[in-house]
Amino acid sequence: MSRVKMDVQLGPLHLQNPVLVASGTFGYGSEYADLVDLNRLGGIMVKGTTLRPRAGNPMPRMVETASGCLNAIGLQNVGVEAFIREKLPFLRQYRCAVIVNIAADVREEFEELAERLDGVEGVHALELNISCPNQARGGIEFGVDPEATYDVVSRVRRRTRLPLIVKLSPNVTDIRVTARAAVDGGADILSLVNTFVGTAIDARTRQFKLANITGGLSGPAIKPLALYMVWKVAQAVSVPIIGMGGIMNATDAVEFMLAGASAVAVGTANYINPRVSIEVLEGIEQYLIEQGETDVKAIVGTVKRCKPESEF
Amino acid sequence: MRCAEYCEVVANQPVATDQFEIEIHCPTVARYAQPGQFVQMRVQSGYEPLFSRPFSVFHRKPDRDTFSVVYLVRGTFTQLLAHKQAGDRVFVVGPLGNRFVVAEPQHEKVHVLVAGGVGAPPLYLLAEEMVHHGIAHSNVVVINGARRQDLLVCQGHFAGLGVRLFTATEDGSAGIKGKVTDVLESLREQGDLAPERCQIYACGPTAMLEAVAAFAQQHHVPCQVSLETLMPCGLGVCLGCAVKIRTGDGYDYKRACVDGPIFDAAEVLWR
Ligand SMILES: Cc1cc2nc3c(=O)[nH]c(=O)nc-3n(C[C@H](O)[C@H](O)[C@H](O)COP(=O)(O)OP(=O)(O)OC[C@H]3O[C@@H](n4cnc5c(N)ncnc54)[C@H](O)[C@@H]3O)c2cc1C
Ligand SMILES: Cc1cc2nc3c(=O)[nH]c(=O)nc-3n(C[C@H](O)[C@H](O)[C@H](O)COP(=O)(O)O)c2cc1C
Ligand code: FES
Repeated sequence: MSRVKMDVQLGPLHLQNPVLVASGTFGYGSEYADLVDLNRLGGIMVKGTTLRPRAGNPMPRMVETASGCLNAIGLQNVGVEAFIREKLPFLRQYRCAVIVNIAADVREEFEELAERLDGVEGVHALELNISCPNQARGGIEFGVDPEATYDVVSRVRRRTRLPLIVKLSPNVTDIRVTARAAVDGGADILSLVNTFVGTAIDARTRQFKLANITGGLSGPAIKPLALYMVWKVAQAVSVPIIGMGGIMNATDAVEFMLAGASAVAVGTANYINPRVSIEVLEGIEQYLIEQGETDVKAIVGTVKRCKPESEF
Repeated sequence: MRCAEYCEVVANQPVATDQFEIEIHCPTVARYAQPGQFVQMRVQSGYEPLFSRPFSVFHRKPDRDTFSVVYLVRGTFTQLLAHKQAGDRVFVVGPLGNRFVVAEPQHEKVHVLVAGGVGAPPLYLLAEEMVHHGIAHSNVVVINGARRQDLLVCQGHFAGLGVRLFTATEDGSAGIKGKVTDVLESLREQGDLAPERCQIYACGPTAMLEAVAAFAQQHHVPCQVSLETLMPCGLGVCLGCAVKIRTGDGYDYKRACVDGPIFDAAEVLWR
């Protein structure tokens, strides 16, 4: 159907279109394969993967909030070996890029993960998750400290030839600082944002609603914040950006691209409408046609100031 | 086979206090839903509430391409749903989850279906299937419980099937005054619950399931329970519906939406 060019080149990573699904919101792809044509996606960012399997946090782990949700899953996952053995063969059948989101508590584990996945058939890129706010072991979020960010990214960089995406935390004073640290450390691409730390309280029982007390906020509630951060980072670095945070439809996705994202990832929206990623893709194409554009790349970062009142 | 699509409401009628039965045109669910399976539903309402809500399939009419759900008006979503009329649309994903497994040899077993409140609908679908498969009516025992008579769900439907129906209400406004476990106890005393001949299937509030599971364990009766948790996705990806399931020496978090909602009661770690 495409009359517009939809493929994008993010540094070393080529995607057939700019619509990805965000880590932790699409499992390992197989869960959605009967409802979504995975061949049409730009890429799948799989669930955060650690060196060893993790059981995750106690329940309750998730709670709805106004136009959003808080989660404290605690990186429950099968571990990298089971991922390679049991999950990856399924994904290899498809055309879309497979991006492995890797997470760890200590730097050496990030290095081991990168090394393990380097050269594994069917893995197209790594997404370094230095921004998970739900580290069970009281662990630090590497992503809030520019020096730790630089150090982890450069260590991983030395262990892999795969395109390296670094996923930034929004829980910082100035996201440009950690963005630059990640680029200096060797990131090919930045993805942002991960979830915002928050909490929820039940007034009736006078208890926190999450067993973990805090969780990461996602969904439409965070879109304006995420959009602002993407725009800010796009001014500060020259590597391509994958924008995410509250994308519910094609218009949201287009806004992220106008703000400077070369590609987008759909997250929480996948829970609500399993087919939303395809609707976003088709909606972007429709938008480009309406705007008289022939290549999706043409709109990236083209947002302009609105005219202040006095200039009318 | 599963679907994820907008479906038309065929009817949406009150059936008891704060309870509605909604019939929805959806060929996939009508054809493939099994007893114990559920659908995720959403209505167009901006982002309040954000997530879809899970509801057990109560009835299906493959000849009309419809299925129905009985729901209790509880909060934001169910209030919105109660306002839907014939011709309106709801978003349906399903059928989802596993099903109750009818114990074999099915014609020799006594099947005891224990329902609490809005836990009744999937057990009605199960009882209907059992009758349809020719299991003797006397071997299908339904214990339907609620706090009060007006909160009993599917009572007329169970009665219409001709199965052995026992009722328990906490205030005694219908059936015996007491809980479903009191009925289980009296059946056991009458010798109706011989462990080797009997299988319990339970669906209802967690406290009830826990009590039924404890009864089953104490008397060595096999028991399947349908667990209720928050279900943000229903598709097995968010891990927000985790339940503790016993493994050799510890436990594993399983997903209530795809590994369940039905589990062997003996494997559930309740706290
Ligand atoms: C597999 C499965 C099958 C289900 N089948 C049915 C069904 O057939 N019929 C039916 O009526 N319901 C069923 N439920 C429960 C149903 O999903 C909830 O009632 C519904 O999510 C309530 O949504 P709401 O927005 O109206 O209420 P909310 O606004 O989410 O909640 C309103 C209030 O009710 C409380 N509440 C919400 N859900 C529950 C609950 N499950 N138990 C106790 N308190 C609760 C909340 O804490 C809150 O105080 C099922 C649940 C599961 C997991
Ligand atoms: C339940 C849940 C689990 C998540 N798990 C991960 C994860 O494992 N790794 C990761 O980098 N991000 C994870 N995320 C964050 C998302 O990938 C995304 O960055 C964030 O939710 C913002 O996008 P959204 O508002 O569109 O959901 C998770 C989000 C949710 C809601
Ligand atoms: S509801 Fe999301 S994994 Fe079960």
